[in-house]
This record gives sequence, C-alpha cells and structure tokens, in this order.
Amino acid sequence: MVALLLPFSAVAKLLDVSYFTLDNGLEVAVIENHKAPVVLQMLYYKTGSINDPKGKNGIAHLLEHLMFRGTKRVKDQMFSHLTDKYGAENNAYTTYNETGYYEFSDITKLELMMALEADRMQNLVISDEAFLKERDVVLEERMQRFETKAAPLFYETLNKLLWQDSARAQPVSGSAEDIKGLKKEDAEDFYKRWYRPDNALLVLSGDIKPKEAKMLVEKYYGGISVKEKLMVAQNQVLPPRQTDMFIKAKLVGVEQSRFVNYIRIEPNALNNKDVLALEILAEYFAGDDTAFLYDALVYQSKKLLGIDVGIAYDKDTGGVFSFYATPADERAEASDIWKWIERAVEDGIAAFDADKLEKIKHQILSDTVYLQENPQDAARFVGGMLLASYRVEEIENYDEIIRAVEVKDVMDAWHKVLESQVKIKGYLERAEQ
Amino acid sequence: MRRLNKINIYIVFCSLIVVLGAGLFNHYFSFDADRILEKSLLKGRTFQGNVQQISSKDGYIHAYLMEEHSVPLVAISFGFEKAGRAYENKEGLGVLIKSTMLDGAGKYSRQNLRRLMKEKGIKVGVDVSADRLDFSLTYVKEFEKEAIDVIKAILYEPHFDEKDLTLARQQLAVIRQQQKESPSYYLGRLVDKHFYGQHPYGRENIADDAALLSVKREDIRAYLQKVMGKNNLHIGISGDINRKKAEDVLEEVFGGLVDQAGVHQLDEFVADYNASEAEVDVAFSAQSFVLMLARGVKRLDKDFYPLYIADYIFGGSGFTSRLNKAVREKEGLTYGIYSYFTNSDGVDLWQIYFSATPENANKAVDIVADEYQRLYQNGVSKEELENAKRGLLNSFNLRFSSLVQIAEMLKVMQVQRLGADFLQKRQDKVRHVTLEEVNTAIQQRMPKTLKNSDGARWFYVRGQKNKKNVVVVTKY
Repeated sequence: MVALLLPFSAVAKLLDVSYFTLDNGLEVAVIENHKAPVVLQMLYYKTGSINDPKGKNGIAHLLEHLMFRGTKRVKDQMFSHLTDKYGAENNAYTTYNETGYYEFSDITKLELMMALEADRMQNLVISDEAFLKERDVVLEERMQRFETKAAPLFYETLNKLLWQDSARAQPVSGSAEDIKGLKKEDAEDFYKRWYRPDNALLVLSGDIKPKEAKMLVEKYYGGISVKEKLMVAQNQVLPPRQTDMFIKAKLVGVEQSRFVNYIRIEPNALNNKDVLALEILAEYFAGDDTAFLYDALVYQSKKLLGIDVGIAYDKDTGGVFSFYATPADERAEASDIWKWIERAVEDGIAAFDADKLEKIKHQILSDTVYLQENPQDAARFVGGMLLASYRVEEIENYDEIIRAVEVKDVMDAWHKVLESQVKIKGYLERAEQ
Repeated sequence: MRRLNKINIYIVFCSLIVVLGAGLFNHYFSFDADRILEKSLLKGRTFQGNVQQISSKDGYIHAYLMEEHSVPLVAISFGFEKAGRAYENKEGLGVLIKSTMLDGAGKYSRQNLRRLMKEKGIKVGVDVSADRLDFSLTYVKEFEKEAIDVIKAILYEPHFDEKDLTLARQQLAVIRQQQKESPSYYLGRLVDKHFYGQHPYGRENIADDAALLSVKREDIRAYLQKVMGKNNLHIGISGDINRKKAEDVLEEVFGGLVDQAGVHQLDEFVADYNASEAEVDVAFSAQSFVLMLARGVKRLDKDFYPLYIADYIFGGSGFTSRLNKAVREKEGLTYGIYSYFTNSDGVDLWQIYFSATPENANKAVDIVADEYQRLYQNGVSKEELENAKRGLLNSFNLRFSSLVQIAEMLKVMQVQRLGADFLQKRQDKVRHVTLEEVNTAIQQRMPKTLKNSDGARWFYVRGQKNKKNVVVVTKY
C-alpha cells in the first residue's frame, strides 16, 4: 500500500490559489495557469431558487436571464454584442443555492470582461419590454427541459416530496404557473437584495498573476459600495416530518423503467469531512463498472443493468444521498429492487476496509491531477470548494485531506445518512401506449 | 448689442459647460469598451502554438505534435478514417466496440484494467461516429510506460468476452429505449427515413437487438484488425513530451498495425434538397422540434470562410446572431435557435435547429424564412462582417486552453486536410474575407429561399398544444 500513496510525486501542491477579500466584501480567488493566454472569469452570487419568495418561484432564474438585457451604461444587447465581438465564450446558470456568470476569453480581453461583469453587478436596468420577452423565453426553457420528456418531471416530483414545505422543494426553473405571474418589480427586488459584492465570489483562472489580478479586481470591483447590511435568509429548510414513502408513477413517453431512492440530509448534519467520506463511499459503491454495487448487482447477480450513487450537500441548505437503478427485468417488483440494493449496500459496508479505502482514495487523487490541465475545471473545483467553506490551504492541499480520511470516518458519515428522517423511493414505470 | 453680446457670451459659456459636462459624463459614466482595451494592462500579449510534423522511423506513421511542458501530462488523440458506423460490413460492430473495448485486454482482466487505469490516472476513451473510430489517451508523465502498455493491450489484444458482450447488448437496448423518451430522437429518425433513406447514414445509431446479437467476438476482432491501419490513422499529441520521445511512442504504439487498412467504400449519397417536408406527432411532448437541411460547403472549398462568416452572422454566433435576435430576444418564441454547417465523408450540410411550443414554432418558422430572405437579398453589412471577423479572431486562443482539446484539434486538422501550418494561416484567412466575397457566396451557394422544396428540407416533430404532463403519484 505504501507504493500506492507515493505517486504523482512531481506535483508539489495540487493547485496554487491566491485568495483575498475586498473592503466591500467581495471574495476573490486566483488560480494561475500559464499554458495559453486565456482566462476564465467566474462570478458566483450566493443565491438561487431557494431564495425565490413564495408564489414567485422562478424569479432567481429569470433574473439570471435579465442580467444580459442591459444596464444604465451598457444598454440593450450591448453586453452580448461586446462579448461576441471580443471573442468571449459566456453564459450563466442558476441552481437552488448559487447563480453563476462566466466569461472565458483571451487574456488581453479580461479587463473588458471585468468591467462588464462589475457594471451589471450594480447598474442593471430592466425594461418592461425585455422583462416580458425574457419571461416568455424562460417559459420556453421550462417547457424544453420539463414538458418534452417524462423523467425530469418525475425527479422534480420526488424533490418536492423530499423537501416538503421548505423552499428547497421549489424547482429552480420555477413552475409554469408562478413564472406567468412574475412581475418586473420581483426581479428588481431580488437583484437589490442578493446581487452585491459581499454576497459574491469571483474566481479568475488562467494566464494571470495574482498581483495583476488584485490590481484589476480593485480597479473594477473595488468601487462598488455596500450600503445596507446583507439580510441573510432564515428558515429556508424547515424541520423534517418523518416520512418513508414509496411512490409509483406511470407517464406517457417513458420507455424504460427506473428506480430512485432519495435520502434527505438536514442542514449542518454533515461537516466537510463527512461529505468527502460520503463521496468516497459513493465512488466505492458505484463510481465505475468495477465498483462494489455495480459488480454485485449488474455483473454478478445480473438483477440490474445500471446503478448510480451520489451525494450532493451544502451545509446551509442540506443535501441528498441518492441511488438510481435500472432493473434488468421490467417485470421486477419495485419493492424488490430496493431490497436487492439494500442487501448489497449492507454487504458493501461490511466488506469496506482500509485496503479498499486506499484504493478509492487513490482513484480520486489521480483525477485531481487533471485539474492542472484545464483552467475551467480548476475554477469550478476551487469555486465549489470555497462556497462549501473550505479554507484556501485545504483546497491547495486537498490531496492531504483525502489521504487523512479513515474507515471510521466513512462509517460515521454513513450512519448520519441512515439517521435521515425523510426517505423517498420512487419507481417510474413504462406506460402502455 | 452689449446686452446681446452678453447673452451670446453667456450662451457660449453655458454650452461650454454642457460640452465639458458631456465630456466628463462620457468619461465617467459611459461605457467605452475600446478605451478599456486600449489602456489595458494585459494588452499585446501574444502566443504562437508551434505544430511539429513527426513520423515514426519506418516513415509509415505520422502525427502532429504540440509540446507543452508546464504540466506533467500528455494527451494523445487518434482516429481511423472510414472505420465508422456507416462503413460497417455488419451493423452494430461500432457501438459494441465502443461499449466493450475496455472490458479487459491482454494480460489485464476487465477488473484489473479498469483499476490500473484509475490508480495510475490513465484515461482512455473510445468513440465511434458515422465516419470514424476514434480513441483518446491521457496520462501523467510519470506513468508513461504503464499508459503505453495499457493502450497497446487495448488496441491489439482486446478480450471481447461473451459475458461482457451480452451485458453490453442489454445496456445498449436500455440506452436505445431511453433515447425514445426524447423528441429529438424522433426528429433524427424522421431525417434518417426521409433524407438518408437506405444509405448507411440513415441507420439508427444503436442497431436493433437482432443485429447486435448477430455480431460475434470473431466478427469484432476480424473487423478491427482490418480497419485499423497506418494509412487511415490520424494522430494528435500534446503535452509534456518532446519530439524524440513522441516519435518513439508512435513506433511503439502504432507499429503493430497493418500498413494498409481494408476499408469499405461508402455508398454514394445523393442528397435531395427539393423533396417535400416531413413530420411526425409525438404525444408526450409539449414542444415541437424543428430542423432545416440545405446544401453545405466542403471544408477546403474556396468559399468556406465567406460562407462560415455568413452563417455566423445569421445563426451561428449564439446570442447576437440575427436568428437569435429575431426569434428569441425580440419575440420570446424559443429558448434558443442555431444554424451551423456540418461536414462528413458523404455529405456537407447547412442546418437550422430549434424547439418551441407548437404555436410558437409555426411563428418562428415564418420569421426564419423572412430573416433568410433579408440575408439572401441584401447580404450582410460591413459592420456585421467586421464584428464577426473580430469575434472569430479574438476567440482563437481559447482552443489552446487544454491539452486534451489541443490533441483533438491536431487530429482533426489532419482529418480535414488543413495542413500543419493551419494555425498560422487561419487568422489571415479570416482577416482577408471581404464583404463582396461573403455576399457573392450567399447568392451563389445558398438556397434562394428557405421555402420547402426549393433547396431547403424541413422536418417537424409536432408536440401537443397545451399539453400538461402531470405526475400522478401512487403511494404503496
């Protein structure tokens, strides 16, 4: 095992990350990569659909669209016109707890991208015309994602059941009913409350030195002032009502039955070490087709044709430990499917030992080496870690944190999952045409 | 007079303040992109990617290499021409190869091979398109020897055990079923049936169960031995590896291939751009999906760049294209609309694609046709051309951000016969395109109208109006 712990010796630190905070509260991380004269600017706002007010579900996402439709100084379509003309790949996305904007450009164009991003942090103007058209676009987006295929709608339903009355039960895209009722003022209120430097994280990744970066970030973002104190959202996740539910759904358009099990994990139930331990466990269970559950259920017993296990967690808003499975025989009883998985999980837990842990750790380590290869991947990795409140030294030496995980840590974390109060199992059946 | 003079002076004085104010206002409050770039601390940084043409000692194996020693990683992309799905002598070979090629090779069992790759950070990808069989290999320099062992075992001694083939056939059936849950699948089948017809390009990407079952291990082995040759192989290498070492790797990894691959000829495909439109209803979708096909342009055609720029302005550039402005921004009819050129061995196409609710889709089709008339009759403007050229020039360096991406680009440069000096030439080619060239090419090479049966083929997957999918939950 010793030999296994020594490879990748050429790599001193996983990544070099410089980190600082401006007086106005903007957090900044800089990752150097001088392979090519390009840079990714990634701006995260720490807000998302979880902050959609009741009855206004979808406003965080609609605002993300409106951010491209003009400011006091950069009017109408000028933002997109400039990013196109100066060759920047750019887009944005919304999740339940973050909203990200990025521009990937030649290094010589970075200052313009910073000026544009800083401008729309403070000067957004929403015209009636743009608001109404963009609301239509968002409805079409919702249609394309959820009303043209059956499975996404099913997962959305499970998510609703899982988060009960909490804001996390709302879909990121918004429900069609809510979207239709959104007003321009809703977007303006959301923008005023959440889009501010002290609620944002800026990551620059690529051909830039920390010193230059700091100067430029000061120049473009330093002047944005913060007047009132940030009002942190309260009670986004309400206490769980004990539920262990099994649901079935038949939907037209489903050609392949599938099984899902979502296990809800409460805010602050896990620390960062627990989350990492569960990532290791998910990798051990089903990280690839030689993993434990795959081997047992697909390769050996042939009961399933595929299995996936995942953990997604945020300490403020909680998370989900999930199982997805495709049965080999569609006539299988849905309740049996979980029994097979549950038994195999128990076997897997019993068989988990230091040897197996070392192997999984090593697999994860070998993947992290590739972060040096791609500045965009590195930015997303570092951004995600900072949002999860990892310290910079921990990110730079993430390999050491991985190495420090012990079998006991994995078992402890798994027991925390088992203590969950809310478990929703679901079976999506093929509908007879 | 005095009074008047005073007023005049006052007016002059006031207007100066206004002018001065406007100057100050512009300086502090207006947004001047060119000025920001002109004064930028970062301006003037340049970069030249250096492509080396390298060969094995026997002179049979060639590759493009771009050295990059700042990270201890190496990426190799390679592909075999005329070894894709459309060239198969038995349907299903390609997808089964893709699914099972890493399930054990040489001395490595399936389990051991995967484990070794994971533990040493060796990544291997296998992909099959209609035209080509493609591979990628990425490794940490420290484990070069192991990586070469692994890729050689995969190329020369893949197992294709019956157990793995059986599982792959079942899993491919699942993927085939899941594809049918998406309206875009039905759009693809519609094009297969009405545009490609009996040509191999019209085959479903995953062959049916009977076909998959009839493909045996011996078939796969014989096929691979035949179609993987030195003469139809293109290789791109990028990363922490010097010329000498890269040439050794060529010899060692690819030296065992046959000199001449025995590939089938692709049946000639005669596209019909004048036949009528085709449509199909999909009961479960609330949106319609729309695709237009018209004649495209070959990569080495003299009009390639003028047409590429015309398309970029019309629908290729994304947010600021004419189509996106007219259909999405102005009318809010769709989440996105795109046009693009595609090239394959048998056919070059120009396409337009979008999805929208059924009512909106009909409106959007009319707007697309109108916008196209404007393009065809009036061409593009000087300003549009300059902006498009600047966009294409300014985004050039983005392709060098990742080694994997560079290796892939170096391979594609060979597949498309662009030459090793392509990267030097490309910027000038874009820069020198004139307004006349673009607008003449539109007139001469693109359809007169986008009306169906007139050089453009339209395909519709019809969604259902006011369709509301409801998940009915049954507890049990």
